[in-house]
Amino acid sequence: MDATINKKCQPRLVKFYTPVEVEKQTLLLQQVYELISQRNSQIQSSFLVTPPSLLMDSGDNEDIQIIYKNYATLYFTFIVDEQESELAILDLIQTFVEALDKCFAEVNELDLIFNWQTLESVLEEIIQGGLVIETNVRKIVSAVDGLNNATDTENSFTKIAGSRISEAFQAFSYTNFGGWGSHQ
Amino acid sequence: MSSLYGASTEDVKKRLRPFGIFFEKSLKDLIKGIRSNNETPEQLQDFLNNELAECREEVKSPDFNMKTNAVLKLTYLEMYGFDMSWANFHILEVMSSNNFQQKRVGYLAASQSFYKDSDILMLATNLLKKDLKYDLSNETVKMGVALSGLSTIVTPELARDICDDLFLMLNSTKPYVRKKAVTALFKVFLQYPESLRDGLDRFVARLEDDDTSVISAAVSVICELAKHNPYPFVQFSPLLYEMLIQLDNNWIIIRLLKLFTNLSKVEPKLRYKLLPKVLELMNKTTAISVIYESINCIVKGQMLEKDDYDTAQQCLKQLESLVQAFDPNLRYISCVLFYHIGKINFEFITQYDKVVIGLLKDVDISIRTKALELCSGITSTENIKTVVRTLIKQFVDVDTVQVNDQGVQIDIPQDYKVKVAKTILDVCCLNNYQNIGGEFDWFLKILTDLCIVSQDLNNPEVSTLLGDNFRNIMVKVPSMRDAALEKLIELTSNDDIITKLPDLLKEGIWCFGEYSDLIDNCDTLITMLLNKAEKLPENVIQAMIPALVKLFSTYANEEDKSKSDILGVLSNVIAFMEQKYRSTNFDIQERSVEFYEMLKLCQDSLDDEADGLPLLITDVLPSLFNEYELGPVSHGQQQQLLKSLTLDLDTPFLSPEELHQLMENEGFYDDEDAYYKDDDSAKSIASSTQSHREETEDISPEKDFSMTEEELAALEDHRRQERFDNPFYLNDDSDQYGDKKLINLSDNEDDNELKAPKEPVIKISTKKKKSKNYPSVQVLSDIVVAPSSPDTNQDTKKTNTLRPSDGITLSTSNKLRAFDFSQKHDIGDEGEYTVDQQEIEKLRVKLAEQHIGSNSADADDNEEIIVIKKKKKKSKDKSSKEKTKKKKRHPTGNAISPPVDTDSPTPEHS
Repeated sequence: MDATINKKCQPRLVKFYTPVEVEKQTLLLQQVYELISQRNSQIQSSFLVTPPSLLMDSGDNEDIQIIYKNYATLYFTFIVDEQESELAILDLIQTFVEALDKCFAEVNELDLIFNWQTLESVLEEIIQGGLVIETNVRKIVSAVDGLNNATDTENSFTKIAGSRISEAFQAFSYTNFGGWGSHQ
Repeated sequence: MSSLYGASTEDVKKRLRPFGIFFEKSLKDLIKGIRSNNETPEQLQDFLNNELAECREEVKSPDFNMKTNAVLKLTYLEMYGFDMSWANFHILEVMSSNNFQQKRVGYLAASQSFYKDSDILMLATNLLKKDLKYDLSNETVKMGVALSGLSTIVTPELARDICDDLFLMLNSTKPYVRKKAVTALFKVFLQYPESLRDGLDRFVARLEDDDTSVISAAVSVICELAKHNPYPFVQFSPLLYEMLIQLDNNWIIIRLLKLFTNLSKVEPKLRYKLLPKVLELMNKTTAISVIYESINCIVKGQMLEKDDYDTAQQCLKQLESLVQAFDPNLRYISCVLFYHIGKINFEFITQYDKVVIGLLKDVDISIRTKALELCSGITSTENIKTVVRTLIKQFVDVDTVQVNDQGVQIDIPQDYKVKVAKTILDVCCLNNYQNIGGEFDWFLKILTDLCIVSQDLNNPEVSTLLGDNFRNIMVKVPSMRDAALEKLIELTSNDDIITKLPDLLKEGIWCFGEYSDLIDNCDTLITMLLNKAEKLPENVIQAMIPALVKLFSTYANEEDKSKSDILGVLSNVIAFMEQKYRSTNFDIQERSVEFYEMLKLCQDSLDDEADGLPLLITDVLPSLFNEYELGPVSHGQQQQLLKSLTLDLDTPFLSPEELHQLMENEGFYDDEDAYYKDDDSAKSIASSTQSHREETEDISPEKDFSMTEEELAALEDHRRQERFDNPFYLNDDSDQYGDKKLINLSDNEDDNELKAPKEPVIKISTKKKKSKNYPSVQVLSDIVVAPSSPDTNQDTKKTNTLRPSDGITLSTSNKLRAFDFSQKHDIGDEGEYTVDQQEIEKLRVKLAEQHIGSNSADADDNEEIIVIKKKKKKSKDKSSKEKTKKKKRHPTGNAISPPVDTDSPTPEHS
């Protein structure tokens, strides 16, 4: 029941845990982006009050919430039902970003663009079939490592930096990250 | 770039890959390409189409590396909106690869595109079974990937086949496998609920796992399952309760609170044990998310009762600090909770008016929007002016808010302003203008201001609301009529208002007509309206036509009006009617034609009359409008009237005798022969007159005073036929609306409805409002015609929600919701389930004890719950549960319980 969308105009990672047709996925992405991009994430809350029309139109979705967090040039967006705690989802986004940061040493949008598979893998270790399975960053990263090292490494997508920087994540997200990543 | 793999053969390709290294575009190249071809959307589209064509070729390659690469690229491209279900078969091939990393790619792609392809799902079933085979030889990683895949593509058949393996995995030595299996089982349960029934205990045992991740996953799954069907999990409440107390992992605690929310909805008794604990947790924890979820659990789990002021205040106190936090997220969610608490009982939040007013000025529009919903809960006569002032100031395009000592500019969106306007009107009108405290002068000013500021909203809803409010004041507050009319005239003379708030005018113009006797110079107003008519939309014109006539009627009957003046005004109005004569709008046409003829008559009679005014103008015309004063009638009353009205269309007004009598008196009788000669429909009259003739002319004696049955039927038939032929009658079955229909209708209503008097009593209460020291203004309360029933509203709501939609549904389809856990079918033995039953009983006993123990002082006065245990009875029927539980009432709280079943006496008091 969570859909994870992550983008800046262009999607960087899209994952639906309920069957949604591709055309509607794209449309939803567009609508959510338009709503989010109007907001000032410095001073405004991380919740979309008016859901996009696509979600409003379907009758039984009265309790859908859209929760997003802005990191530098990226919006990490979760669309969840009322079974999820808003604050917990915000924590989860933080966990996701922290895990990515560990995987890439110091993550920036460019890394994420070219390592989409890693994004997928990390997310798969956090959310399985729409349910959160792990919130411990260390366990997430080691599971991804485990998968990548499982067999012969002839494939191109085994780029995992093993560094374990845990200090000052805050500083990372507000300073270093800010200038990076290409717009548009 | 496409030339590389043109139509040329495999040979060429092989030649180009001398060392087995492939030079096809990798995903990285694809992404680079997307980035470099990004100048125009067309260019990007071209590039992507090209890439897609390449992938189509590559995916067919017998080389698995190339195939995998293509599948990976396709999976990526799906994000850009390219469906890849056409490649499902190739994905399946990649999934079945022996190379683990290739398998990984396959599963990733499958999770995105297999969901609606039933053929490929069937093929995938075997593969998944193989990959999920639980034995030691199977590698952990492979199972992990397969479990993830399973979570997205499980079908009922697959669920049935695979569930045993998954249950085995619950005992795996690796926490990684256990947690993944637990989560994958969720989807299996949804598709194949039988597995949950049979394996419930084994599954729930994972709540006591050594590994936190596994516990967390199990709680999550149970929480989700409980959302669909909470009943099977109520029995585990004691265990979950223990966990809530003992665990210190906030993530799990939050999930547990969510779970208890679901459980408490179906088992209200949990409340007595849970509520104190949740409150304790809320007061003890330092984690804001846990505080928030505790309150959420109390509110949404229906643990907060209407009169539980103590609990409500504890929650609100916590919220009060959150609502003023720096973090906008906290402000927002706590504001939402405020609203939910307020919804239970508005009195809970009345004292927090300052907090809410603060939120109305928040920098985040979302928070303001939520705070608006709180307004009707916190406004009172004391603070309404502050609230309204705060709100009306927000009708600007850009608002400046102080954040950290610096002004932040925020745009105020239109839909927010619409909501503000509605809220202002709402809080002012609440409970028949209670909040205003009689200060209607002030309210009128606010209304006028609102009209001015809402011009640019372009929102018909607001303009209708404003109109309604003006009209309501006019009708309900007699002392304000002069002032309100003045404002309305002022507004009507403003061209901007006319074009932007037409619906306001519609009501306004109606008021002019209805209260024209308060206006001194109706002629000027008529001229003004006629001049503006050009700019007005049709629905306003519609209201304007009768209003003009009313105005004229008042004008003409005022003293000292010269005949020529009257004629002048009259001819203007007639000219207007003539102009609307041919309107394409049916209502306008009908009204203008009607009044045109009427006014023409007036004009003629005015010309004929030498001195003074004709009777037509002095008496007849005003009598059309001034017979009664209109009073306020509450919404929906007219519909109620229809229901309770006994409308008898069959009984003639006069019995033949009466008619006869009447006609004789009137001396009407002389030429009746000629008059009625050909008129069949007058049979009744004719027959009665004939009977009269009897005396004088001695006609055959079988003519009776009353008509025979056949005659009546014939008459009725004739009338129906005539109505049918007449195009101006709507061809409904109104004849059948007689008594039968009424009885049917009232059968559906409750008893009150039946008791409603047949003749509706219209009661106008003009009792003055008693308000402390505010100026006392007479406010007419609504006329009650019939007991109100919310039926009509509900109907419209229903149709709204049932409206078919093409939106996205994010809920998973599943069979769990409808699954009946009490049906055991043929699997498993019945003993297991009856044990569950007993456990529920035990739990009930326990909770009942708890309830009585903790609430002995202020318990629900004299209600006690006595649980009677029946002898063990194997029954799958749920009704047995009902039988074993009995509620008994005692006159006093401490009475000794009457003897209960002997085998298990239950203590009532601790």
